[in-house]
Amino acid sequence: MEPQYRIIVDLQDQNGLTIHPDTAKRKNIPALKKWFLRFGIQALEIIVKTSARIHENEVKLSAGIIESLRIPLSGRYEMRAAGNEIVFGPYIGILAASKKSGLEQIVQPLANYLYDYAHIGGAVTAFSLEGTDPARHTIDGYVYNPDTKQWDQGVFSYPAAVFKIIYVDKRWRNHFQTVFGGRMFNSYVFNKWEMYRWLSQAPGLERHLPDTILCRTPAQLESFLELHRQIYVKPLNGSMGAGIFQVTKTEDHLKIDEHQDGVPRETVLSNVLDLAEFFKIRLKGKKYIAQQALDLISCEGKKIDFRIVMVKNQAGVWNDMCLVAKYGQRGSIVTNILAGATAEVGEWTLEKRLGLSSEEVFRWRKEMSRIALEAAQCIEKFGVHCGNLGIDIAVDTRGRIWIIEINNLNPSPLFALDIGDRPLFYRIKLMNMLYAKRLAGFPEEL
Amino acid sequence: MTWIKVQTGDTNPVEHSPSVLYVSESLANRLKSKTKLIFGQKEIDIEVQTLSSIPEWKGDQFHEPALFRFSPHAFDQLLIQESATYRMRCTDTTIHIGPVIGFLLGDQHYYYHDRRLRELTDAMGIYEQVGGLFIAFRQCSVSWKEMCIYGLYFDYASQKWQYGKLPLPSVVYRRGFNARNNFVNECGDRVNWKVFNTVRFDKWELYNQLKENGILQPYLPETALLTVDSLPAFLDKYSKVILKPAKLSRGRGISILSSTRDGTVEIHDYRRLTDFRIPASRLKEYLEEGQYLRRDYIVQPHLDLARIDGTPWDIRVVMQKNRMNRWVCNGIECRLAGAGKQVTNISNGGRALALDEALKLAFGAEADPVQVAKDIGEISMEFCEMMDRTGLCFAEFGLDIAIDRQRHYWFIEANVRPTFKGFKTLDERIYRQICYEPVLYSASVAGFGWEDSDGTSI
Amino acid sequence: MKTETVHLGFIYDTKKPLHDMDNMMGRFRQLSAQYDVRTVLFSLEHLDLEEQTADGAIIASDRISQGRCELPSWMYNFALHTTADHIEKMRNLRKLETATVINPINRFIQDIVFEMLASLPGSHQFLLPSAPLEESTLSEYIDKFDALFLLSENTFHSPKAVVIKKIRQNDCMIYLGANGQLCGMDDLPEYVKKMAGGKSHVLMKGIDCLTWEERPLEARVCLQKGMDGEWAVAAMAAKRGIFSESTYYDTPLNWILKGRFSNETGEIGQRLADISLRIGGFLDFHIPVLGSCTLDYIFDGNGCPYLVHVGGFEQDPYFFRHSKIRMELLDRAFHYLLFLRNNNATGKGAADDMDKSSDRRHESG
Repeated sequence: MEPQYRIIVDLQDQNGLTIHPDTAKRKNIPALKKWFLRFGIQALEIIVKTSARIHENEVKLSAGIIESLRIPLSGRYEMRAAGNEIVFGPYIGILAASKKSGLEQIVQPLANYLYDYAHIGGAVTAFSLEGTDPARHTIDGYVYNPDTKQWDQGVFSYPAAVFKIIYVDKRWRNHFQTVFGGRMFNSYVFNKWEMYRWLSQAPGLERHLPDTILCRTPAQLESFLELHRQIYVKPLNGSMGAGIFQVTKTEDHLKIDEHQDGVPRETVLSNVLDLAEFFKIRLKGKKYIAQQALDLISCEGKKIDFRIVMVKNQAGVWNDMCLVAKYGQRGSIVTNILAGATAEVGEWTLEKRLGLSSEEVFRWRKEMSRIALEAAQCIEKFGVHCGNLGIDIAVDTRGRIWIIEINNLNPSPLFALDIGDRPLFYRIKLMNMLYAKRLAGFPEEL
Repeated sequence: MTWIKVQTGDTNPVEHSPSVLYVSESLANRLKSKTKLIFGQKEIDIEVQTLSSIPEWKGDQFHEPALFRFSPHAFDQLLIQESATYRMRCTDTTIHIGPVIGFLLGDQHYYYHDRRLRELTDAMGIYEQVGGLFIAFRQCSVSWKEMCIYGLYFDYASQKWQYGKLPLPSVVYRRGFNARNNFVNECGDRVNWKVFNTVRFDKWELYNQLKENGILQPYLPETALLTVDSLPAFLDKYSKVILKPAKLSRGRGISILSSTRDGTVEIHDYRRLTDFRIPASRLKEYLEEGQYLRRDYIVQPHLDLARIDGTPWDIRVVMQKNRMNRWVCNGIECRLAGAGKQVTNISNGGRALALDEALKLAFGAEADPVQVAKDIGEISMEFCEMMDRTGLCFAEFGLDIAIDRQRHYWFIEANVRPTFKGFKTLDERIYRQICYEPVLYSASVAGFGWEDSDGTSI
Repeated sequence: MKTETVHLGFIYDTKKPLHDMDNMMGRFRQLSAQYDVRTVLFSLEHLDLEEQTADGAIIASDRISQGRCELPSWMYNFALHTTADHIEKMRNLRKLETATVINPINRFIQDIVFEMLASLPGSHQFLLPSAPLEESTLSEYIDKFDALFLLSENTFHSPKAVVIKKIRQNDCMIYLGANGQLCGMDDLPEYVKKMAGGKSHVLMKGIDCLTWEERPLEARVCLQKGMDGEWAVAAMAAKRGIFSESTYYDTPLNWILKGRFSNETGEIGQRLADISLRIGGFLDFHIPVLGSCTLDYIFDGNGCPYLVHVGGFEQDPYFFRHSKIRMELLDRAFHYLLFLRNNNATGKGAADDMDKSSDRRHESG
């Protein structure tokens, strides 16, 4: 593990960084050189001094520098020399809410990203858009205090890297891109149609995508129904199983199945114009897609699909963290956990429900992983910086693997808890932080 | 003389007089006839009362002082400090507590603090023999409105100089000069304190004074005010002359000029690193350009001083008044100029030597250190006694005396309030003595000496 | 070059933008004309102590020219000299017999000044207990008080402090502004020692400070002697900087205090002024030839001010940016020199006496 340094406030010196002579040697920081100290997006010119009076795991830093760079004193920092800069960090920001009040409500649980602070180090702030001052490059939010394991409120400078777990509008996206460039992940939350169009460009994925259209006119809906007889209609941006309808075309009418608050509901309409009107009202005029319905594997009437959690690590490499099988409610059209589904370890499902041998399970699992990785890489090819993906995969009764949906708006690692694997839950969160650490200028050292 | 400690407290709620002095019974018996108390410049009416709770300590020794308890009013009026141990003596109706001695500080520091008064703290090594209140202050410290000093006093317990509101002393020992020399005289209009080391010498004025003294006259290099006329005359006569600012000491601002055979003058100018030559005809311009004439400069023959390893040296004699009010010689050190320097001064990079050592190095066995010490002692003593006759008060001098190759003595310079850092390295014991002597003398002058002058001490 | 004679001199620092020559020159030109005196503005680089001359901008009868002049009898130093040769020059200038420099030093060793002020009767009303940082004083203070201020003694830059607060039996927090760090009580002496790095620091009893914009409110009072030779408040401002990142508030101090103490605003402002004038008058006894001094205070919850820093002529550009205050500072400096000149025909040294001119009048009257 890289050494971490505690900051000692220097009230005397104006712009000095004092380090132990051995630190200077080990970190290749000659005092003679002209140095800038970087913390977050800011850098300031400093004078490096060495002194054996301080400990090897300490650095002394001028009060003025600490204040200008707004370096939280509670952190234990790693230090890397790069060019003419000494980088203090990692300094990671979690963009976790739109409003300050919203942040206040969710900030404490964010501490579970930092259970292994010792591996992350540095400063981690949680902030909201409302608390962000784009003119002064400050964030009014919270910093994680590793001593108390609490979040301390304060005004901080912009971090070196941002882990974004909320949706932001174009104005903010432009601002963050301007400031952070490639150092923000989950930069853009794509919708289902974008996902379909991107993935359908990848030759290896096409056959795993259910046929999908963006519904603009009743005529499109009509011809799609003609083609597939049974379809799903989903809002473009929804997630977690909300607002999903199953439409079945019979000889003389159109049957719509949905779940409202866990209660199945059926509506019968006579023509496609009424259907279009129905969706217009129910989806509040929002755009929606239509997707070919699949004959998924099921168990005792409960539909089964899978979730693969893909996370980048400190080396920037995608890791397939787990396969979780989700069982929908009996007769339900969705398998979202929040919509009342249950979950189990995916491999076990493959073995039990599909009657696969362990060798077959291994191959299936490997194929699923390959598809998930290819999907992740494909999405990044289209300009979305991801670090954390929830990929919903299904298997139909004929044994074909389908990509149902990909979620990059902070996909919940709660699946890990659903399968009773708490260490996995923390590992996923840690991995998120380590990838952020990489982006913040602290890649895994080879 | 009785050693005493003072304190205050509301001993008696119904005091008849605001200024009451409570003492033990036996002491009260001796002091009850006294109605006045003098402390520093302060004189107050006092009523002596017995307080049985005060122990019967005799006050024979510093470490066993008798106890004086003042009513708060008296205590505040006197600005007396509890931490000190005082001596007390009586005249017919008056109690004298003291000594209260002031050290008048100069411009060496912009402001003073214990950390900047090391030399005075060294001098306080003698405190247990003297007692009293020692006050370090400067011109700006005096409040004439409140008739007090806001300065530093020596706190015996902590051995530190502490800030406080303090009484005006009865004796002032001038420790350093600040730019304004008439301050002391002006104070004389307001307070009746004895000040010594009041003036600093101007070389020209001093020369004119000393040359009237038949004993000293042979030791004085001929001196003239530097003018366009005096310089060529001196150069003609002595061929090598030295120019000195009349008011600066410690070898500052000195230039040396010598005539050469080809009619030019070689100049060693204190402002320049290398010597140079000019035609004798351009001397006037040189003086004007160098601004010599605007300031008071004197011209003297350059003395061909005895040398040690090629460098000149001179003798610093420390003369001090002792507790018996007599001049004594407390130190002789020889100062060797720094390498290549023409001017002997420790602060110029030179070093200090003992007299016998210097004489041996310079003259071998020819010079008898005992005789030389006696000679320069006599010259110095004559100087001191002459200065006493001027009516001014001096407590010490640092006299610079040199010996030339013919072993003739020359009286070079007299410094009031000399520094004697050289002694600190040369001989710690001598250094201490030099530090203590003025303190003992001051106490004597303040009326707390060791001769039983008034015969009324108890 | 002809050597002119001038009456008054002002020493500025060429490297400091605050010593804006144009502004100074303009104002001093008016004043010099008004009072019919000749004035020089120069920097220490252009002072020749041997010759006792200075090269600078000479203002004579409404005309400004670059030239050489003899050192005037009365000088006023605006600058903060930090280089060894300038400090040495200033020391020698201060010791000159023929001239007086007001404010020869514009920075003070805080622990000395606090110790001086602590001897002023009643000073505990505006002075928190303080001591130079040493192992023994640290342990004494941490025993005695729940919070400590640790102030740097760095006299070249504006002062900085951390707050050390006991939070539990065995822990304390070290705060730089709101930015805190946990430190075990047992580690504190070692930590503070490293922090101090062998340099002087001042320990002060910590209090809960009155805050403004969530930071401890500081007040800066600029005292200056003027036309009558007496101390007066030249400027007052609300700021922060010692306990948090430096800022001056544009909101006037009185307005801020009004928000917190509706009834006592005037009282607090007046109290600040009274205390400051007392301090100024007292410092005159210990520090000669002061012409201006800058006092920084914090407040407790009741609005009671406590002194935390004493400086000389204000070096922060803030006041110089406000034309009204700048004018006040320049005018007072000029008027004070004029006062000294008018009251002392010969020059040197009498400044100290003149400071207490009221003193003397009082005595004789």
